[in-house]
Amino acid sequence: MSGSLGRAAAALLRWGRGTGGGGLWGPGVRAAGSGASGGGSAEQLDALVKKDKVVVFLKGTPEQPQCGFSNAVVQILRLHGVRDYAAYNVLDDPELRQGIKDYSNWPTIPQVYLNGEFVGGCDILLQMHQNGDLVEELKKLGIHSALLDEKKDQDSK
Amino acid sequence: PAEVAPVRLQGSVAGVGAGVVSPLGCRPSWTTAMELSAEYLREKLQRDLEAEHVEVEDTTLNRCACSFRVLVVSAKFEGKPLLQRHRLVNACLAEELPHIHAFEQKTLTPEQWARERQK
Repeated sequence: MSGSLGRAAAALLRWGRGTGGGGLWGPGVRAAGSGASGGGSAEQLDALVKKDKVVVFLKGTPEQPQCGFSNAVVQILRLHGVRDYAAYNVLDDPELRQGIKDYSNWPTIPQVYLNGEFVGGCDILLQMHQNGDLVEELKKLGIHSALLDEKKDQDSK
Repeated sequence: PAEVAPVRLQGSVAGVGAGVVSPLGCRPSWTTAMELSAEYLREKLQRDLEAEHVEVEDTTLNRCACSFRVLVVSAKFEGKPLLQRHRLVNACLAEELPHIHAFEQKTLTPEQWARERQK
């Protein structure tokens, strides 16, 4: 398939797992055990996605993603310096795994929510990252992307 | 680890049909009549989305189970944000997606496709 999206996506999907490391993630990242999210009713999920500005549903955790696509989401957020986000592991809870798909009417995991709104999966997040939309959306949430600082450094040289 | 080159099907391919056996056994038995093959998906997407161009790549061997990556170029995507475009594709393959483990998609308008091919 032509186009750079395929290669960039392939590179992200090959990144090593567990590259987070303990100190990098900060107190904001949390995995929901089966108790915390308690299954997948629409009401509960609605509350869950609105509780934090950035909410992701993954296979695995940010420290140990269990799937290449979930890992790609984690890596993109890391690139933008987003540390304070809620991460829920659907592998912990089959009701959550199905419930979140019903809630968003979206067939796959990972799922990304910004400001309580479903944004898309890994493909969409990657494209938003590449075309600058993600920086803009984070800015609207009051989150300053780390990539803006990188760019500033580069411009001043 | 070395990656096996994914199978790419564009246009009709002779030999793809009921005789194809998936090593991972992910295709349910009903698909021998209606083969959940890359070709089948390609035709369905082309038809339902009136697509100018469709590529379907069977990425099963690179992922853990029945997986596809698709590229769809259609005027129906014009003026629609990404999420809406992807939902159109999802709706087109609503029957098939429950049987697909991993699904990647790229959705372009004919104009975007023309620009990309120039790169």
